[in-house]
Amino acid sequence: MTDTATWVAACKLNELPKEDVKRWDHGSKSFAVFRTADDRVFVTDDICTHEYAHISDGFVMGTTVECPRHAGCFDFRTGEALNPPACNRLKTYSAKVENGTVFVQIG
Amino acid sequence: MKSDVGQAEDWPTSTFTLNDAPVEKNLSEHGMVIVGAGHAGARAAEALRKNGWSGKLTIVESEDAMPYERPPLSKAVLSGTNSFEKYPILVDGFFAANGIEHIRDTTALSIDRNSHLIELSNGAELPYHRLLLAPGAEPRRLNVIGSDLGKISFLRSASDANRLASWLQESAKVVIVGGGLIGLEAAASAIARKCDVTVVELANRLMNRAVPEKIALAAKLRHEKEGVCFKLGCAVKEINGVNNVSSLRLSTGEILECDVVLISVGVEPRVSLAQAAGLDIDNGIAVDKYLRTSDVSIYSAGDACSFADEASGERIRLECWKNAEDQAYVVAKNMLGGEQIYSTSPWMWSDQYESTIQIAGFPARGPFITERVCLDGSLLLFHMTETGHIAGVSGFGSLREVGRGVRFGQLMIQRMLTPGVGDLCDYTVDLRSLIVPAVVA
Ligand SMILES: Cc1cc2nc3c(=O)[nH]c(=O)nc-3n(C[C@H](O)[C@H](O)[C@H](O)COP(=O)(O)OP(=O)(O)OC[C@H]3O[C@@H](n4cnc5c(N)ncnc54)[C@H](O)[C@@H]3O)c2cc1C
Ligand code: FES
Repeated sequence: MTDTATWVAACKLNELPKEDVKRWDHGSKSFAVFRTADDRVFVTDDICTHEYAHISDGFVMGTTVECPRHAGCFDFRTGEALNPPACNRLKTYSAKVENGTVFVQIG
Repeated sequence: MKSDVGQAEDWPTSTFTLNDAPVEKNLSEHGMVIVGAGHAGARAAEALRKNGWSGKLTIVESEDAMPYERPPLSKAVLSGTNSFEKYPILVDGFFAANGIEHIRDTTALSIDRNSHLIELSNGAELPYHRLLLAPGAEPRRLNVIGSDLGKISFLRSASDANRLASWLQESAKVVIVGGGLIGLEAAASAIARKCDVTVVELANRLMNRAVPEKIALAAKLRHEKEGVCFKLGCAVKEINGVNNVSSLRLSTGEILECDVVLISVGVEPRVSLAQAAGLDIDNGIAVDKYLRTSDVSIYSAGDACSFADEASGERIRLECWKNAEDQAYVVAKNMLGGEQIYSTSPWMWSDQYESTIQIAGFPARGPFITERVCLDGSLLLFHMTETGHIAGVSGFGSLREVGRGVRFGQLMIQRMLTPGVGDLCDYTVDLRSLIVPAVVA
């Protein structure tokens, strides 16, 4: 597979508020698509690594997202778990914006 | 052990006062001892190492298990979704990798404060320099005839949860005595296992102590939808059965047939060890703002300790995960000579079915309630003071609305904002917009 073949359009940038997150379902998976206050986009797995919760239902501040269930925090740029009860990383994916559309590299 | 961990002699002993007792030898060689490897104890052990304590560190635990999270016991473990081993507090091998001696299946029996020794149930004596008491809390008993029959349990430990889970067979008649948070989580788990569930509660409403009335009512309706039957305003007068429980007699005279009983009528702080050692006890092991007991060499954290709340001056005790977690970090710093003040910002959650209850701050201190019903039916309550400040926020419903709403409420509390009532109750107003100027700053 070529590099370009793995980039999939996820959503329009303007559908995604600044400093917020949106869920994107693709195939059987859910992804969390983040937009920072300065317009960078990042993508992670959407299911919390602690118990079960959609990270896209969480609370974004700066470059962290807080899980809505038990407030475990992740740095969504790297997926790093920042505080208990979250302790395992969230998987991250490369993302880019082209002509107002957010693309995610999966696979 | 990690190479960046400092040496024992780097330790700032000069900041300590050792209880005015003559120091005959270098007590710091005795190291740190923690009683209780529950949430507060395990996290404090981790924090002591992270804060540079490289000397001896011993943690004593009555249970024969590695430290585990208790919240999943009434949820995933009881409903059979996962085993408790899936919820460790520390990463696998943490104690060994960090040179921490974990003495399990062993109880601390007494403390000799003069000699700085604790006596263990395995016959050993353990010297300490600084001691942390993190013994947690004990389920309250029900003093009625028959409460020692078979198939009656409390729910505090993993073995309690495993035993109860094995009794929750399909169609089993389960009676839960006590409509508090843990009782109701257990009710939801028993429903997931297709049991027939009745909750008996002394008060006229559920979750009387911890949860605002409207939230409790919303949760009750949710449980009733799932088929849970409630007997409110009723006391259990007698438990009957031959070997195992077979029925309960209530104060109304009603007889409830049952196969399994969970007694979940609150907890009492485990104070006996501290009390016998002559430490001050006041609604728990009394600690000062540094989480130090009345003996400067002994600290306490978690469900067992009571502390003076900064705002009200009241001596309070919090029985929730966040409190144990936060106190562990503070106490570890202070055991190492720091002077960090523990200031609480209470927050707790309870998961029942797919819904969540979350409560932050002190709802009882905000008599004026502003209610927001979200588009998906989730309920958020902002508990406001006379000055329009938010004292507490609570919610019941979806993770998205309640998780975010309570988080925004916490920010409003922290920043002492006075948002307009009209905006708070209007679900079309984004709560973020009410804190945005502060976020940007
Ligand atoms: C079933 C259940 C569900 C819960 N759900 C939630 C929830 O959803 N949200 C929330 O915020 N909180 C919840 N909690 C509360 C939370 O788990 C507790 O607040 C937290 O565990 C307190 O930590 P602790 O270290 O003080 O006590 P514990 O975790 O109870 O640990 C104390 C430990 O000390 C040991 N010990 C006691 N005495 C001795 C002795 N003399 N010698 C040696 N060892 C001793 C005990 O065996 C125990 O392991 C729940 C608790 C339970 C039981
Ligand atoms: S499910 Fe996300 S922190 Fe627990």
